[in-house]
Parts: sequence; structure tokens; C-alpha cells
Amino acid sequence: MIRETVDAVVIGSGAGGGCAAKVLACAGIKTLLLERGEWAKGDVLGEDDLASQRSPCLCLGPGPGGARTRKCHYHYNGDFGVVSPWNAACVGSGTVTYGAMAWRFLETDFGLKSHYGELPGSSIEDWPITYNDLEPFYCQAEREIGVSGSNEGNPFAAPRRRPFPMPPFSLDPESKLVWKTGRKMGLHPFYVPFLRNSIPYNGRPACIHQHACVGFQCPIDAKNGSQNTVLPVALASGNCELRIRSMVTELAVDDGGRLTGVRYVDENDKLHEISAKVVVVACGSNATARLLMTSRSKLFPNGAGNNHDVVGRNITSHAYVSARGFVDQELYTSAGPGAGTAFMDFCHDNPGFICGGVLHTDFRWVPSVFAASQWPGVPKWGKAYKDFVRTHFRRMIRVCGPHQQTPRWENRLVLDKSRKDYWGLPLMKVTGAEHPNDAKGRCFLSDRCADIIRACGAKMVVQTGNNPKSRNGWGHGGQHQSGSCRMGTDPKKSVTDKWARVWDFPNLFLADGSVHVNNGGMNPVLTIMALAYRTASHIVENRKEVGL
Amino acid sequence: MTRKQFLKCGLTAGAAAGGLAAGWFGAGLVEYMGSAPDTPWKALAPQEAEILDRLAEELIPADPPSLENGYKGIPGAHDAKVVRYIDWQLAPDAPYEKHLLTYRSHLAMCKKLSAVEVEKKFPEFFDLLLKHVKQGFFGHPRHGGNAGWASYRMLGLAGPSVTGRNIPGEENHL
Repeated sequence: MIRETVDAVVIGSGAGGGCAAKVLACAGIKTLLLERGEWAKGDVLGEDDLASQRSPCLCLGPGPGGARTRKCHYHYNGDFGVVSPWNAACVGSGTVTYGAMAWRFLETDFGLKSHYGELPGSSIEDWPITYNDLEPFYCQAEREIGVSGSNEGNPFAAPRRRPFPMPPFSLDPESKLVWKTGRKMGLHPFYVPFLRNSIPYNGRPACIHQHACVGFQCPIDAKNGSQNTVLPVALASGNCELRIRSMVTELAVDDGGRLTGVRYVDENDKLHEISAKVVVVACGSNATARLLMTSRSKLFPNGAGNNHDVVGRNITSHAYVSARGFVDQELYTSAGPGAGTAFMDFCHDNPGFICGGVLHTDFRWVPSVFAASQWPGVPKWGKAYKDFVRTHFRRMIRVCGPHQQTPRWENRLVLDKSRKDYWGLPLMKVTGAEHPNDAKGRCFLSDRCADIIRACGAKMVVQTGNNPKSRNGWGHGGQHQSGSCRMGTDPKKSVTDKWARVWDFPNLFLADGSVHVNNGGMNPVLTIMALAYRTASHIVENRKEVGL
Repeated sequence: MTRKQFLKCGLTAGAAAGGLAAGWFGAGLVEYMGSAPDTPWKALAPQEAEILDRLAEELIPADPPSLENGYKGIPGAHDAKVVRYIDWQLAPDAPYEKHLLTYRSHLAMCKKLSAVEVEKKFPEFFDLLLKHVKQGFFGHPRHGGNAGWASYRMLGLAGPSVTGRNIPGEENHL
């Protein structure tokens, strides 16, 4: 065993871990950043559409994959289905290959219970913080990591103290058509905000509009993630050391119940014991909960911070809905990646159910994804199939969006001791059921998607997410997972306080989607970044209290 | 011709030439990465490959040459080397190694069957086959299929895309 001592350990270099490491290191705190993956090899993978995170036919781009970065959870739906592990295992994690939509949650999202009242069968709750508490950190994330966008024409957006650092992207023909049509329908179209450079920014170039963007690493580094923004700053400070291929297996908690550091295994399977004054866990909602649960000690026999059996509960994600069809004219252009126009008209206060979500045009489908899609009445093979693909590929129109799932106490991650990973740690089971509210919500949103594209002239419309009996999207462990260690005010019903500090430990903090009380009706990454900035700033401002 | 038009013309031609060159280079590289010519297959037996090739071509047939397409129709699965794609993936340590036995046992029974008959008789195998054939025809050529970017040409896509040449509102495919 190799022993070392540092001030702070950050586990995971993704959206939350990157921001946390940057804030700590720039404040002069000696920080060790541990990442299970390695640097993503965009030059090797290029625009390989059979190996991207979005279309992983052969492998999953930068991982997970292989023995060491295998997924650590799977979906229990009665027959142990397997969850596609879309989240990456590399430096920067999902921020290397994400679509990079840069949403702020809405004010209502931070107080669902106050807004809607009790919802039987759910565990909806108010956050211990408000939108206003987080707003300065949204600004910081947008500025330091780089966001383009505009809320012009969007009456639903929460107020912002600073404008977007970069102007929005121009629209492609599909997004233009949806914009124009949506406005005629009385909706409020606006530009999707992106963590992507619409103009040269922070020393890196403007986007070149690859058609292969979401699921791929940007070939010119115009997509902004931890790996090309906050991490280089953290490393340049001289106070942050990044160790790749380093898998943390345990939080070290002594018999007195004090967190003393972490144990990790390096690429040669050597065990390291790191003594640290502060530990920030940022492994993503699923893996963070697993690490807490597997870190058993005398005073915490069910895992760190889990004496009230809350760790792993209240998990949420997004139930994605969509409608796709074909218009008479060609919409496709080589200039990607699409997803330009959005509507926030259906995020809240919809008829008959709580919550909802943002709707938007979607990212381009690479040809292999289109080729695999099913269309009623269309032959699956032969000359007629080939002609169909040829004549329809460039005329497709799609609108989609995420319905904000309702958290339930019973929806939880549990350790499955019968299945182990490379290091002998148990895998996670995703268990529970969809709340009836969400079946109503996603059917409603799916119908709105269909309304919009039909008004655009679409025919052969295919909807997804609109089967009330299917388990569409429930308990998705592979994307937008959140809530497994929710923050709150009651230590018996939450895992952390409002600073994302785990109850029972003065020096253990979480910096990922696990602390979300609910997941917003939009992609969560900017909220993860803002919360990580806020938590790390709190650590810096309260060095003595946390033991630094 | 104005100066702007002239520049635009040059840029488009340049992009097309660049794309073509890169396409040829890519195809050449794929050829280079293949096995030696006397043992063309990594996993399949020659007679298995033959059956597979015939079925794949039925699933995605070549365009018949016609005056309309200037006798330059888009190839089918055979010329796009879809079988090479599947063969590479079935090889030891490749992603579809686990499917090799399925292919082996079913292809042996498909010798005299048409695609319609295979679909009826072995629906599960047919679904797997169809999925892989589509991947091989529409996926990235680096994995052995989509030779000469056949499907990208059919869809009018830039492929491989030339970094920095995708201009919003402009088409610049091959």
C-alpha cells in the first residue's frame, strides 16, 4: 500500500469534479483529482458513428468499456435489462462528448412542493436553496466554461444578472421552420443555449458545424467541457494533480466516524491510501451513491452518510419524448449539429399533471441511426427500403424533449452483491416504478411535439414516449441520472445539507447530479456545474470549519 | 463573374476535391487494413461469406444501371463490402465475436434460401443480420463496410467531412 497526504481529494473529473477542482486549486488548496478513465482520444475515434456515445454499435467511444471502466449499474425491470452506459469514462467524462445544452433550471424547479403541493406517491420536495442562491454560480459557469445563447422571445426563462457570454448559434432550415411555425401556433421560440463556441472564446476557435457533434469529441475543441476549460486552469495553478486510470474503491472512515481520506487502485492494481482533509465526490449520481454505500465502517455499517437509508433513493432522470416525420422539402444541411430552436411553453403548469419539459429540435441523426429507425408502412429491406432512405433522409423533421420525472422514495439504487465489477465491488440495480404523473406528462409532451411538426407540414409522424403503459425512459441509469443523494434540511430525509455536505461529516462534499432534489425539465449539466462552483466556493470560504 | 462569386466557386471546388481525396485515401487505408488477398476473411469460411454476401445484397441491392443515373447508381451491400464489415466484427476479440456461432449455424442452413425465406424461417437471426448489414452499409468505412462512402454519397453527405468546411446555409457534399 502506498500512503500519501494531500489537502483535498476530488473524485471524478466530469462536469462537477472539474469545477470543484478548479476552485479549490486556484484558492491554493493542494488538490488531488482522481479519474478512472484516461484522456479521450478524439484523434483516434474521429467521427466514427459506430463507436460514438450516441450510437455505440461496436463500442462506446471513450468508454465505459473494457474491464476497468465497465458500467457499474444496470436496470431492474423485472428481467434485469441492461442500461446503456452513455456516460463517458475519460478525463472530462460526459462533457467531452455531450450535446452541451446549457440550461438553467427554472425558479419553480427549486420549489416543486411549494408550487404544486403534496403529490401522493411521490417524494417531491423544495430544494434547500433557491434559484437566486444559485444564479451567481450559473453566471460563473457560463462565463468560465463558455455558453452561447439568448433568451430573447422567451418569457419563461428565469431572470439573469449577466447576459450570455456568447451570441446564439444561427439556425439551420429545420430549426427555422420550427421557429416560424411555433410562433404562428402562439408558442415562444428561442435559441437553445449551448456550452459550445459560437464565436472564438477563451483561446479556442468557434464551432465549425460538424454534423457529428453530440456523442463525439469535437475535432477542433470548440465544445466546452471540463477537459478544455476548468481542468487546464486547475492544473496550471500548480496546486492540482490529476491522476488518470485511478479507481476510488472506498472512502476511508475511521472507527470514530471521521472521514480521513480515500483508497484508490491505480492502473497496475496497486492500492493507494490518501489522507485528505476534505473529500469531494463527483462520480455522477449512480457511482457516487455506490461509493457511499460500499464505504462501510463501524459507525456507518450501511455506508458513509447512510444511517437513515436515504443514499440511493429518490433517483430521477428524464423521460424523453419525441415526434418525427417528413416534410416535402429538404431540410438537411451538412452544417450541424442541429437542435437550434426551443420552447419552454410546457415546462410547468400544464393541465392534469405536474412539471413537464422543454421541447426543441434535435441533433442530427448520423446515417446509421436513421437507417436503423422504424417507420410504419415502410419495408425494412430491399430496393424499396433503400429508396425510402434515399428520398427521405434529408426531409426529416424532429422535435423532442425531456419530461421532468417525479422522484419517489421507492425509486432507488441498491447494491447487487451477486454481481461484481473488475475490483470486486457490487454493481447497482436501478429499481422502482414510474409515477402515474409521468405517464400523463410524457404523453402530453409527445403530443405537443407531434402538433408542432404536423403544423410544419410533416407526414408519416411517429411519436415516442406516448404509450401510457410502457415504462418509457423510467429509471434511466445511463443519462441525466440524478437525485441519489438529495440535498435537504432534514438529515433523516436527505443525504446532504444545502452546501452539498454529507450530514455526519464536516469534510465530505458531493459535486454532481446526485444532490439534485429534482432534475428540471431540461438537461442538467449547467446546474451540476453551478452547484459544484457553489459548493467548492463554500469550502474555500469556510476552510477552518471543514478542517483545511 | 464578380470577385465574390469567383472566390465562392474556388472554395466549393476546393472542398469537393479535398473531400474526394480524403475519401480515396480513407478507402485506401481500409484496403490496407484488410487481410492479405489470399485469405480475405478473418472469421468466416469462404462459403459462409458467399452466402452472407448474397443475402446482404438482397437486403440492400445495387441500383440498376440506367440512363437516369448516368449508369452510376449507388452500389449495394456487395460492392459496399458489407460482408467485410461483418467478418471483421465477428473476428476473435472483435465486438461481435459472440455472434460468430449464430452466423455459422444459420448460414449453413441458408445456402438455398432467399432473404424472404430466411426472414420467415429464422426471424431472430434475420433481425441480427439486417441490423449488421445496415451498420455495414451506413456506418463509418473504417470498420470495413460502406466502401467508397457509398451510403454517404447516396444521401449527399460530406464524408469524410473536411474540418472547417461546413458552412451554415451552404451545401458542400461530394
